[in-house]
Amino acid sequence: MTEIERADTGTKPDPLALAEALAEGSLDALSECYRLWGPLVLGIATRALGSRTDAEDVTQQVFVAAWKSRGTLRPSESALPAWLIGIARHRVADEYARRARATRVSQAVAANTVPGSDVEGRDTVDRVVDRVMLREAVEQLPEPRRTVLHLAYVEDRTQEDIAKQLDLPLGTVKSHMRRGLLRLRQDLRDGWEGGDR
Amino acid sequence: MTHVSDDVLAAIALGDLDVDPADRDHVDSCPMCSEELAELVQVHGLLREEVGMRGAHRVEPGPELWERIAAEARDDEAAEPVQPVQPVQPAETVQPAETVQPVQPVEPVEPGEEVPSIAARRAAKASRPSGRSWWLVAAAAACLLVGVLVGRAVWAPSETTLPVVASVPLTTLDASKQQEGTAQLLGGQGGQGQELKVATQPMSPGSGYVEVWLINQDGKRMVSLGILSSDQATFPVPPDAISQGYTIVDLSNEQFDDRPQHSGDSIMRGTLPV
Repeated sequence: MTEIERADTGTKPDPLALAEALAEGSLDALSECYRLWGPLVLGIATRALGSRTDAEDVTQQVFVAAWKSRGTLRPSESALPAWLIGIARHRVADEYARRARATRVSQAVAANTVPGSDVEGRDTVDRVVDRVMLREAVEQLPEPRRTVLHLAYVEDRTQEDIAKQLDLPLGTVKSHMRRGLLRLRQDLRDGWEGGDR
Repeated sequence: MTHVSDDVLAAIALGDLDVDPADRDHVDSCPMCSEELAELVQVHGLLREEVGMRGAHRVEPGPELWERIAAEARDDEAAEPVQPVQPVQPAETVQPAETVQPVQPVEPVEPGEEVPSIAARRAAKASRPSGRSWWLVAAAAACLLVGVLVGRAVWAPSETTLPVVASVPLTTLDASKQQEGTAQLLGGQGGQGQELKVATQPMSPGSGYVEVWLINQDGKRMVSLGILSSDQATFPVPPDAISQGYTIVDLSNEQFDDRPQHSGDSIMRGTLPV
């Protein structure tokens, strides 16, 4: 079993070592993944499904599925979160499909037709995941950019307001907004494509 | 005129009024810049929906959730000691590489090649252009593994050795189109005696089971081939089914209920190129 190396802080393991340890079948590594990204997966599921119970069930499915298919994980610096989020996307979509079926079960009794794809469900899943990933990406920005974007988007504050509160020139706030937006666009692209950061 | 900078595009997306009108004009008339701008506007719009969603994107799970996951993972471990990243040594009984069907590897991989070790993968990654999607590589590795497994099964002495007529990746139905399995049509003469070999990643059908279907191109008719009780199985195909248009391979989650027809809960699907 591979020792999971931890960085100096004692809280963040080396992502590559963690991915390798998981791929090699370390349950400790799965536990560490859960500690790092479990709240994110549960956040996505909770937002998407509303019900805490369903969200926890989906989160359980995600990490169990991750464990079972760990052999398909190609360890890299950025693979783990993208991989887990990808699994979460599927499981949430499955749950949407299950709910959709439950509501139309009466119409479907006699019809043995090709099951339709749940386009609306898919859109919703993607949107929820994108938004949660963007929020996560905002939190990962260096200060003061993180605070600038948080105030602008989550707190709905004007740029003038933010400049005053943070005692920054307005031009600097605008620059943080532009660069932050470009960074987030890139993060979202990476999230979609699973590319390297 | 040259394309406008990312910085200017971001300023436009953010509604900045100081942008040079010439830049705006260019973006309006330039498909490439318009597309970039649309993407930034989309990100901006998604973030605008976050107004008031303070700290809600992460939710702390209770302590018992991990216990549930760990218990299930340990059960799985006990049931099946998987060593997926170990190189799969080609068994001596495996026939020459050209007879083993590699299932559409995403990257050119020699069928006889071992599944690369992690160290080899890291070395390979270092030499690859950045930005390559990791999952493509993972998929390639998975395909290779499946290819080797299928190859082994094909050449196991107790199995038939029908030629592969067509093979197709089975992908999920959502937008990600993630490959989770493969199907191979093994040929008989003139549509008689054909078989369908299905191999998937490990699945947990929950309280139900997984059923394999051939759906007709007309989108109405379908035949059930049987139950998939492990990661791979081979099913006889009804004579002439393929020529009649039953070419869509579909795996569904089924429950033990009073509805023998397709549940509508498709897990993955692929259309045989025949």
